[in-house]
Amino acid sequence: MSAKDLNKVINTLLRDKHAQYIASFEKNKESFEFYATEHFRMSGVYWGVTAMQLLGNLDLMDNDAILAWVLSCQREDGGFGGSERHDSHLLYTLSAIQILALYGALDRINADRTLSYISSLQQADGSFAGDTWGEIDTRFSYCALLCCSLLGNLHAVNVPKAVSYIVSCQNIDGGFGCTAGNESHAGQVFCCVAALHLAGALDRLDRDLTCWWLCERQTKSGGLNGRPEKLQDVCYSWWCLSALSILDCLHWIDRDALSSFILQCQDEERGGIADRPEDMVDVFHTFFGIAGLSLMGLCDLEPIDPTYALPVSTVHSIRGT
Amino acid sequence: MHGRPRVPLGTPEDPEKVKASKQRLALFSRLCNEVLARRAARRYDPEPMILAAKLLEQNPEVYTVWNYRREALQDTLQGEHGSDAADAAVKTELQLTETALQKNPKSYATWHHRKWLVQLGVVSLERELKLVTKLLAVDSRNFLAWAYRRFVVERACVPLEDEEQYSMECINANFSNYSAWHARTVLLPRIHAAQPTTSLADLLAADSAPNQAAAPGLVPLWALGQELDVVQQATFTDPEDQSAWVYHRWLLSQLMAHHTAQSSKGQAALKESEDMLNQEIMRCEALLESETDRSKCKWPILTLARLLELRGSQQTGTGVQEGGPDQQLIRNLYGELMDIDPMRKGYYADALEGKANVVTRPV
Repeated sequence: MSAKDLNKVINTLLRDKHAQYIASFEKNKESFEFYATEHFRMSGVYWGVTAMQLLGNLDLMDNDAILAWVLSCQREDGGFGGSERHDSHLLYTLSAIQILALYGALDRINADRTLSYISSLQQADGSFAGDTWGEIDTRFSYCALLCCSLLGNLHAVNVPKAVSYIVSCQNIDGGFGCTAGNESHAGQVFCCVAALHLAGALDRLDRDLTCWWLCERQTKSGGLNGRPEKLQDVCYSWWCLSALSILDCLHWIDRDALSSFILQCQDEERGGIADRPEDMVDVFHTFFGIAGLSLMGLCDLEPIDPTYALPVSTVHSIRGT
Repeated sequence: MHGRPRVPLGTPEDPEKVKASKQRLALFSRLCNEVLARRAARRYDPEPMILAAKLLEQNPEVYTVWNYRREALQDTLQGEHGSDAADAAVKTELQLTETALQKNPKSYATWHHRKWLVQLGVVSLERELKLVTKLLAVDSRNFLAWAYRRFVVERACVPLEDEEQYSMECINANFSNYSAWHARTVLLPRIHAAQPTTSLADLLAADSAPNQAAAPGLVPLWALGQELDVVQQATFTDPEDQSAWVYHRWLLSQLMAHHTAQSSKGQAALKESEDMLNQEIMRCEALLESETDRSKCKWPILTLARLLELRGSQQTGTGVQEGGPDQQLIRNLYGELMDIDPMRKGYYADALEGKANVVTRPV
């Protein structure tokens, strides 16, 4: 885009461009990014295929190859690594389970092995370590509960203890931090609210206060930030919006302004969505932009479930509803 | 990818940059192949360790390679302390994590590796506190650095009062440091739960108001008064910055909890917190009078509306008096908020209808 076009308004979702961008991403194996992102490729693939499903273009992906690759990343301990050459971690175990759920292929793994990996990471205080090296974070509480839920056995872990740990991480501003006493962050708020939802414990948080803090994340640009006095970024369209949606407060923000901001972050030439207008796109922000629009019921996208971060149709088929 | 400017298609490529980027790719992909192959073969000799360090300097988030280093080192480090091999290994790991944090100060994997070293008891906590203070001086909002600071402070048994003072210094340097305001919300209840206070200023303040025994989990009124004064300085300096206002909301909920706790002790006991509430109302009014542009006054207007709601519920025990003068005033204030801050119209509408209880619930 040339300088004179900088203020040009993009007011439609460039669906085909995004589908092409996502489909071609995995094919460019000669880029630095391909190597630099290898350790979290499982999440990259989850963002890509879920965005494609929301766009109605999953058929453009090499789904058989993806499925085989996901299965090849399962380790001896039952968890999944970020890719073939990487160790098990809860973050990538969740991404793998989400992909398998999307493909209706959860029966391709031994669920008990994965469940025992997850439960082995729960600590005495109810928190979860990301892997055997013991990093504790409320993100991992969400990963653990969602995996268990998708695998049909939430109570493979100690749910009441998991809930009490999450509640101990709520701050006086209504948000949640990575561990008790740490500053609220919208990504963490999403994880904690969604985890409490899965555990049937939403009454344990101060809904009004949490939602007020979340709606204050919207900046003059229309975009959302992750913490007070920080810059807006498309990924928070998902982190804040999903939590507001779970707590039934989507109407506390200006959805028109947010959708304009997301659309403004599209790359008209290459496809894909960036963190902010005029920045480089990536699959992460492309997914979170599309997911945000889907959650707001815009652009004729397949609806996404705010707690499972999967298409509503996938969640229905798993729950048999 | 965050904050990397987009390059328009068709922009001529700088051949020097293309060459450099190809070299970077070649090196990084070779490092990945070499290190991960040796990891798979469980080889822990010095050469792959050097390559692993090189790889992590380039990309500190490759968690498996940190796992590899820990596997290689744990026997040496968990063994006898003070051996030459252990000392050298600790030095290398500290240096490597520092380099990695310079490259990416928000690398979860690197912070965790550093925590692992601390947990083994092989690192000087004093040095760690200095390092994290230095990093926070560069980026005072890095929440991973703050988390690491709390971790070190806890282990080093740093007095909470010292950390309280540190957070105050951060705020005085920049009123917009939300992370430092947050730190106070965690520290103050802990400090006051661990009475008696130790600083002379606190002892004098407590002595002048002997009847204000704090209810558990509450910051005593005299200390809340001091905090409200700090907030006033911040909000008069920049009324549009939300950091101090969000903190102020917490102070109000503390004030409210005091009022509830003392409600059985008669009018005299309640006067102190009611006077403080009235003082806050006057401060908001003064701020609004001093600012001619009401469109910049979202925060004092919202806070005033909430203060009036609080006063109403203190007076009647149930809520703002139906048809009273405050009710109309509150309605006008929320109406004004919908005009000057239309993005949050939905919240203001719910608040006006009593469907959004953000302050009036005691903490």
